[in-house]
Amino acid sequence: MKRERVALARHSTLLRAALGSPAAGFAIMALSALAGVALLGVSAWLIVRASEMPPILYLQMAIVGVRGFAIGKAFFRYVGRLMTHNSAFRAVAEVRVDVFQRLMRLAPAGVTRLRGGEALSAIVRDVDTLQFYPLRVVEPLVTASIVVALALAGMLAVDVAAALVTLAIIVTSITASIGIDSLVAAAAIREIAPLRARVAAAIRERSARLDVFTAFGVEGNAQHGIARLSRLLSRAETRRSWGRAASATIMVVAAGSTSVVMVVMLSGALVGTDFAVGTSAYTPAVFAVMVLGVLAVFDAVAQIPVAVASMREVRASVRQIDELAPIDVPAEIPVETNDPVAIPDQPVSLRLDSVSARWPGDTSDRFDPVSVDLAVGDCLVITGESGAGKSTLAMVLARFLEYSGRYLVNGVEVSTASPRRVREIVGLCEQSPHIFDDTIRQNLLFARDTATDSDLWEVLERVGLAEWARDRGGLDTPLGERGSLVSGGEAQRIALARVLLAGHPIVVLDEPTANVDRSRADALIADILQATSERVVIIIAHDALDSARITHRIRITAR
Amino acid sequence: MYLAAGVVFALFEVAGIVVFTGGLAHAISSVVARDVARVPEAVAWTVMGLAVRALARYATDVSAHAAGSAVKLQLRTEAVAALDVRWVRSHNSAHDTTVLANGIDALDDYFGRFIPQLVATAVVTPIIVVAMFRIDATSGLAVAITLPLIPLFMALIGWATRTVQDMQWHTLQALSVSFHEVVTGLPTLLAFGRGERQVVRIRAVTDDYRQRTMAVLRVSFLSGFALEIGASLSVAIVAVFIGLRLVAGDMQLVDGLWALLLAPEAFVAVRQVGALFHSSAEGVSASADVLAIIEGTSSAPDTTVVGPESVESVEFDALAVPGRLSAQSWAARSGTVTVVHGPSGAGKSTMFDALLGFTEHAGVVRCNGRDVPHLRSVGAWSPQDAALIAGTVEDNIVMRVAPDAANSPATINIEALSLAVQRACLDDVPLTTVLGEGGAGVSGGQAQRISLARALYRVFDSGASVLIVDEPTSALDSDTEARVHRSLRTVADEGRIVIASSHRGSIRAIADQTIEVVA
Repeated sequence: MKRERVALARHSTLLRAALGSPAAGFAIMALSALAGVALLGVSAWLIVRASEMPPILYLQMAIVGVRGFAIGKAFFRYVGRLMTHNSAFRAVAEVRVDVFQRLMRLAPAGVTRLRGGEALSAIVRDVDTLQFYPLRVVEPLVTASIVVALALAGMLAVDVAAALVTLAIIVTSITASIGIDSLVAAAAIREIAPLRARVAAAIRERSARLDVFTAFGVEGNAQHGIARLSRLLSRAETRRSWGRAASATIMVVAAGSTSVVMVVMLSGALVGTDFAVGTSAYTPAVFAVMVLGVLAVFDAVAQIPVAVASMREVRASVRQIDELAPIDVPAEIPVETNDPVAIPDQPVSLRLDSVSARWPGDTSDRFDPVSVDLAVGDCLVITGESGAGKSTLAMVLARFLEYSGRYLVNGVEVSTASPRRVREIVGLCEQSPHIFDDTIRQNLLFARDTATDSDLWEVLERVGLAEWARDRGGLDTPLGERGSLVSGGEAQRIALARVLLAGHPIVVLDEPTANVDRSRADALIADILQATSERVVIIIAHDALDSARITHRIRITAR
Repeated sequence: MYLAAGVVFALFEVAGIVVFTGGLAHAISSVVARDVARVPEAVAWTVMGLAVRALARYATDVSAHAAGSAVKLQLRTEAVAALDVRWVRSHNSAHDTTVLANGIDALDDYFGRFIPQLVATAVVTPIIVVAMFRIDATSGLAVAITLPLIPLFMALIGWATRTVQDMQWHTLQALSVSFHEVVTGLPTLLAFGRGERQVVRIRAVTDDYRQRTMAVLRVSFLSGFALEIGASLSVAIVAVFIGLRLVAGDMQLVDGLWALLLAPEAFVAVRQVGALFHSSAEGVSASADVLAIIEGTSSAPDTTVVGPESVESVEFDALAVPGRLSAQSWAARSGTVTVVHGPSGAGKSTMFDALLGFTEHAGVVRCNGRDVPHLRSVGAWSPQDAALIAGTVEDNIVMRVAPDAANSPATINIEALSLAVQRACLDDVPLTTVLGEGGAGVSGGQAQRISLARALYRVFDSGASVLIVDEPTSALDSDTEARVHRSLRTVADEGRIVIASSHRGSIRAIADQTIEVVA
């Protein structure tokens, strides 16, 4: 609970910072609400005063005022809404970036458990929910406070008892309204955000695995599962609506009751007063203003419980964001240090001394410590059984995972250097590289954005994809969502092309030939080794490779 | 049914409003006239009106929400049921998720609030105007003239922003798809030091979204402004007219107060329709996408049941997929292993898709000599990408999807499970290991063997007699690969048909026939 509050405070600090000066927007919204109260109040005064048939001159001010407040109410509201929305959207962009940066610190090791659909739901939806904070939480609270304070001040000048009773009704009704809402609705809301995420995850899984579900005849189950979750969600939303409706009804009752109480309280005092004297604060017109004015004040007051309820939704979203992308990075994941040791460009070398590693949540290291010493031109092949920890070591080499032992790049212990700098030197070609839903060109260019088309064709030639790319229609050929239009072997080759293009002096290739046919695999390895003869190459493979260039071999064994 | 209830509740609400304002007007005028004796009666009417109004409000809110919830549930269920394999393979799944999850939730405002409010307004507003006419014809006229102008303005402005709003919804979706892409590609981006650049991109895309949204809002809020100013000005006009006639002595105070209190009520409902119209616009655009999914597919639900018959032979005659697979004609008998061989991209996976009916194809599939649409009912399949689901390893093997769904198998065939695990060489992963979405948490080789165990469980449990495995060993070391190959041979020798694709030569050792697929 305390952590949650800290996280929320962090977000609202962020929101405030991004809002710049939201005060202007809030003030204008409050002016609009005040104009609304004044419109009804002055109208009531005008009518009751008019019924006393004074010379029309006495009514001129009120007639002008009524029209002015009518226009002001609409005008201020328009301007205020635009201002508050604009600053809220600005703020939410910052929050989105902040959440992405958190994910960036954690990925990839800290997000292996991150569920795709949930991440989608969390980042897009929960961050969007945070924009309610200034619009539906802060603004109504600020407006209501200003309106209530000014109205009560005005009432105090006329009748202390009436002001106190009004305040008491406001406080009681808000408390009751929020109380009911938190009893009924809050419990439902706590269920809604996770349920929505689960529905999204279930729909996503079904879309992605529909072929398997169909082949195994469990498609109906998946559908039932989604329907069941949807029903749970629907039920939670219904419970929320009960709470919301009751909470709103209380405010309707409170507004009307206050007017009734004013009539009862003030009528006695008024009837006892001698109107003719005219010096008393009590005139029939003032009486009408007080009775009807409180109705208008409650328009603003009724927003308070709604704002508090919105606050709860914002909180649920913040909680979910914190679960998916915690602020605290697990100890197993390297973070940027404040005062990193600079790694020189030359001479290129890589040294491992009794290195092992673990994933977040592990209680011991994954594999028996390994040691090796590599210089330019060296080629290391790492073999080992499935699950022995080869990919774990690749994560360490690319500085995505902390390690035990010593790991030096160009003579510098990498734990003292910036992880980003390490990755400038050590390039990783992952076992399952991500193919972006874009063209061949864009899928290569991000590795080196200054590359010309002829550079791209040259590198495609080197990984044996030039002919394939030409057949498909050149560099502008789209590759589909998650590379759905390319086969496993082609995806690997594109990933290889990226690593070659980026020109890392040290290259780690995690099972580059896993999905490439045997006849081409040897040729591909030969190509890699030739293209990287001026670099340090580390190839992870489940088979022993044969080449004269291979200078070192390590076999990894699980602990 | 919900609409009828909405009309009844709205009638109660308007009755409450008229009684409450009338009671209050009488109470005030009695006090002003120092006619204290009449105050208690007026107060009693006020309280009664208030009570009716509050109860009607509560009932309206609750029933409106129930209506929205019911529509949402039905649409989501229908859209999910309408998505079939061929649709999913040709569309972006992040887009589908956005539509079916968030898009449908956007309908909350439309069905749960906009439509009920529209119904309520249609009932409440005319009655209030009539009541005003009865009380004071001039005020009634003033409201009756201004009121129709408001929907007119709204319609004009709404019509002008319609296309912008559609664009808006599609921008939001593009935003969602591009976020998903960035998040899933994060490891790759980080490996190339390109994470920071995405921050700039996110900021740019979000800022673009903000500017587009603000452009829409400037116009949308303008219609809100028109509503607001129409409502408040007519209240002001009514007040001034009443004031002038009271001064002239042409009118009773109580009628003036009553008309003044009713005037804003005539606009409240219309204003709410206007406000909800804009907040529900997103939902209207979303519902178009949902309906496109429901109408875009027309598949009968496929109830695949494993056939009891044992398959002696399968035969493929001129099986082809234009542009992706050249014609294949071959047959396989029980007790044999068929290896489908060919370079990456030649169409091995496409051929399996055709066998399983996941893609349109030319040619004929025969099972025991009879023409069949596909081999789903007799086949067990292990796809190339493992295709694991969230849940335990055991859930993946026995395909325990949505465990508490009504028709989920209650029991596990323990014998089949242990045999499948043993044959798939899955000795290094506990069955209780929990996997994340998409099977996150195991290595590529482990995922492959879990997928194989899943196909084998179907063979041993349900008696599927055609085992189709796509690249079963591409991520395995040579020792494990050899063990898996031996398992496949054994499965065939027990009287089943094994069809395996591989780009590796080693699998030929267990093959009875080899089919070459060339691009």
